[in-house]
Amino acid sequence: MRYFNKNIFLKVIGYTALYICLYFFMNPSLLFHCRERPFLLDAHFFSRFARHVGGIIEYGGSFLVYTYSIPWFGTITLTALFLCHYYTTKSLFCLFRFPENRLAALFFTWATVIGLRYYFTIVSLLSLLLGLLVSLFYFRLTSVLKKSPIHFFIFLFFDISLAYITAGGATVFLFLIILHSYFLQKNLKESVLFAVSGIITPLFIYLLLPEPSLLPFFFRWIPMDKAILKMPPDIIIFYSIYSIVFVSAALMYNRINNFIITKWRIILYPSIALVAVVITIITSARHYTTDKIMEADMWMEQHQWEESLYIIQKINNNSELTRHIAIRCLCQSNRLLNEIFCFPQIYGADIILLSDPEMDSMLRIARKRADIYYELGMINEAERWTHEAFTDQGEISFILRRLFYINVIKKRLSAAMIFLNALSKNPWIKPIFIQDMDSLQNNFLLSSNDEITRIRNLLFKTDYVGPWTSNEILTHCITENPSDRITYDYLIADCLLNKRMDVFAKWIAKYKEFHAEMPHACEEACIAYLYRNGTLPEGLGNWKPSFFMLSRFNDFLRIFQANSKYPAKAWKALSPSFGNTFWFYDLFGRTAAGSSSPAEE
Amino acid sequence: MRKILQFITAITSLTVIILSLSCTSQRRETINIPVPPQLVPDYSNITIPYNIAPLNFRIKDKGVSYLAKLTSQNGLVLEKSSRNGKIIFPIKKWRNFLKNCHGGFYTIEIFVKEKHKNIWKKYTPITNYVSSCPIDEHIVYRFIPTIHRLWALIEIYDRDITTFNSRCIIDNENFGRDGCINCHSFLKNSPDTMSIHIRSRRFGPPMLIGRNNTIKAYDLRTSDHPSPAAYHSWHLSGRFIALSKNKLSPFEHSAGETADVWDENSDLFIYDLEHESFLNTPQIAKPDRRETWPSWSADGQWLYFCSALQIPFEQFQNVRYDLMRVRFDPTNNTLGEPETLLAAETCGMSASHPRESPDGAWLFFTLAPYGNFPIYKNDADIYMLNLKTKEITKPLINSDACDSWFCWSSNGRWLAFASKRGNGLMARIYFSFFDNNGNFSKPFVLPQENPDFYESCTMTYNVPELITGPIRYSALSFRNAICSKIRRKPTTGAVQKEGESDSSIWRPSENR
Repeated sequence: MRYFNKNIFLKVIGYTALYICLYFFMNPSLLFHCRERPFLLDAHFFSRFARHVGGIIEYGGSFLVYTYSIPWFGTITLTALFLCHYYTTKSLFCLFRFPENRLAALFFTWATVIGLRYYFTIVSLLSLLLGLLVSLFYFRLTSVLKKSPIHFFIFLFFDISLAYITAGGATVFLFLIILHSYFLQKNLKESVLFAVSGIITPLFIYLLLPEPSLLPFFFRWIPMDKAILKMPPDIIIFYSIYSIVFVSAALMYNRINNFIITKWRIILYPSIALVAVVITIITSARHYTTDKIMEADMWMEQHQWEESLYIIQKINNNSELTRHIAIRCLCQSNRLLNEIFCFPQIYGADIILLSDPEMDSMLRIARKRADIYYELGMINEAERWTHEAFTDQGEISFILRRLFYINVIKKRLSAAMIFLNALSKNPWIKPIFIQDMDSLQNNFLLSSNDEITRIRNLLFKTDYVGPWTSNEILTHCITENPSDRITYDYLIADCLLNKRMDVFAKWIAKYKEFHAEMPHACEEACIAYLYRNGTLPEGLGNWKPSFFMLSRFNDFLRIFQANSKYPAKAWKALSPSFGNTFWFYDLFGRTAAGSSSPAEE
Repeated sequence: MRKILQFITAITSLTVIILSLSCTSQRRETINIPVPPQLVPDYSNITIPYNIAPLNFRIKDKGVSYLAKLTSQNGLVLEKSSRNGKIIFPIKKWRNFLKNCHGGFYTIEIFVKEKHKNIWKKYTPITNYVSSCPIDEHIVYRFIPTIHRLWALIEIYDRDITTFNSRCIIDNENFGRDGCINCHSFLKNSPDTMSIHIRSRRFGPPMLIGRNNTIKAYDLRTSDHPSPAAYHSWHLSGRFIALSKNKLSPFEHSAGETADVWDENSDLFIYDLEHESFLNTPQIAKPDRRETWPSWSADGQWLYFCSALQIPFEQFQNVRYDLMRVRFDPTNNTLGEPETLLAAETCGMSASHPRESPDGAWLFFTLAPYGNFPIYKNDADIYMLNLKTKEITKPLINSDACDSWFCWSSNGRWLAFASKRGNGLMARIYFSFFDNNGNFSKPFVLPQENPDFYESCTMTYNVPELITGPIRYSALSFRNAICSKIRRKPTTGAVQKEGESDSSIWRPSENR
């Protein structure tokens, strides 16, 4: 009895520890932000999944992803899945008579945790898990039943079902059945029969469910499925390890002396633990920057500008996405024109409107474009890009809600209700639906919502069509909405980033309407303008650059002139004190922030 | 034991009788409400075909019990009650009921019982007419996102109008999620002979033609005209397909309606399926004009189309298409000279999508302020031209929203069209009965099993085409034709290059 209680107690401690580790390591909120999938409790929506192999597991995975939106609940889901994975693989290793089945199960579960965190989605995990579970169930069932043709029909039934429900899970199932049959039962004929049947079976489904090729039947949703098809070395190694361990276990069982294994255990366990820790650290380090960028993106979407900026400053990354996030957060927190060059900037890319077609490959580009146009009151462009995001990502809550708001702003209330009603079909986000519905019933134009009111006031009165540059678009925006601070700041920022000093000079005098003092970056730009043109931009009235700024500029010039023949030396000399100024950016085409090496002129 | 069983049976029967009687109107205390009820969808005062699926609806009024009582002119009653306002008729009972109303009418009485009250509100009865002219049993349509350039979530459905069964015959996921599927066309409403066009990065721009129980993929690009085909129409002989080759560029407005399309250049061609070659038809491919929207007359002697002058994009609001036709001589496969039926200058509008009625008496077309993509124009409306008197009228089926993309049933009595009247953004399919005198009945929307379906359907219906039966070809056969490398090409001038790039299509990152 005491022993029994102690066992349970230890298990509870273990599970709790696992839960806590997963809570912090997996970061469900971030996972949800990165991996939200469309999900609706709707027959027509479901039929879209039922028409494809692996569609059922995808539908289930899409449902489970929403548990991440409640972090503690998401962690429960993950804990349950990983425990299931552990116990299933342990049982399978036991079945394959591998002596260290606990260790092996721990190892693979740990690998799956890493995989789910960084490489594949919950749908792949479910596919793998179901393949393993059905394999275990098959072995148990056939061990009970007498050896007869019925085994083969059971195999066929499971194989076909798995192929339809999970796609890749059937491959896992087939692999384990063949291994078991050939290496453990030494039945070559049976293993060949299983192999041939397992390969042919999906062909029957292929006749019913059109797919672009046969590959999805075998590989869709298997972890790292996209990578498998490209076959990079690390994926081959990942799956080779699985195969080698199972095959070795089956081959070496008769030759391994339990006594020897016990002796080696003292070295084996700590070594494997050390390897696991090292690989975890290396993998986490590899993905650290991407993680942080997505975290900054998440905070930005939640309108937590300061949190987002804090992370961006920490990571010091100069990717286009990071720079875009920085610009937007700075603008929303009214710090843009003071601190724009304190964050990484690189000349030549349109990181405000993201209009360059080469940016199409940026992560979630449609949503980013929709957001910025929405902020600027360019509701038609916002609508277009939100619909593109809808087409790309499906009926996820963020997109449905945005389309709801857009249609309210455009006073297309019936269309707005359609998006709101679609939102209600996701049971996880029904509270949002209820909240929006209540707001709508109180005020059908949502005029009490500050954001909606602001955007509605920014709607364009005049149409324009054509391939305008970003600067032209922003200029048109400020012409249409001369009282909007956000529009103004974006325009000036664009002028500074793209060195459009002509447009800058035309609009800088307007700063007084939005800022109590001349922002730092603008003052620096005015000084640069003065230096080049001999006069300040028009309309500034009595405003003059401060003595402090002028002397700073003189220092800048002096240091630059002393090192002008050697760009690397100039960079090194100027970056500590002037790396966050417009002058530095104007000279080198980038800020010191985000750049670890000297830039060429 | 036997007595016990008899006793139980008697009690059960009595209970059932009491329950059913309690729902009948004879026991109901009612007060009359002098207004008609609000039904969603609006299936009031319409004319319906006798072979249509049940017109399920929801009663908008708030209550705890609802009852719909349908009474045919012959006294047959069909009742349905519910607790949530949704009235869903069993298909068999509905069919029997409509058979009884064949060529006549039926009334709908709606009763709503409020909370804490024992009295039923009875609304003013509605009268619907049941035409003896059937509608074609199937309708094929595109089911797509509303505004998009990314080619995803594009599906073609074949829906049985007599039931709620529908089948997805092509989903662009079937061939890799990067292909557009557009503008299916059928020969005289027949499900056996059809064409549909695909544009795919991986598999090129094949036109799939289903004939004689097989689907073949055609690559109709030529070195002179390397654009793939777009809109197309079957000649009644089944031998010729008139098709347009367009260079369409979507763009957005900053104020007003969001999406719009610019047709940079377009020409018409006639493809001879027997000789697998294009006919020589320079009359409909003039270099200084854009010709598009081909459509054959019912007797095959005329080809209708729309034509506009080539002007630069900056003048996009001034591009207006004339409504044209040209005589076709099938004996020697030649065209006459085009003649103008309606000049854009005269009406100040732009014509598109001409379709002659099956009896050859009417020509229907869409007019919009400018351009040739009426689906994005709120003021696009359907017009009709009497081919004898040449009088043009605007039928009452139009609404304040966009009405376009129409098609005829094979008997010429039913018009199906796409309309955004319900919400201003997503189009739904509406039907209207057409009598011989040019009059239409009030349009009604394609029925769904769940009457609330349209309340949360975020996709739009596009290109409705009525056909007389289910499409003969399976989704697998379409997929095989698209994904195979076999392409039939015109005997002269065929383009050899594979694939197609469209710079106006943005493509997102694969890492989602």
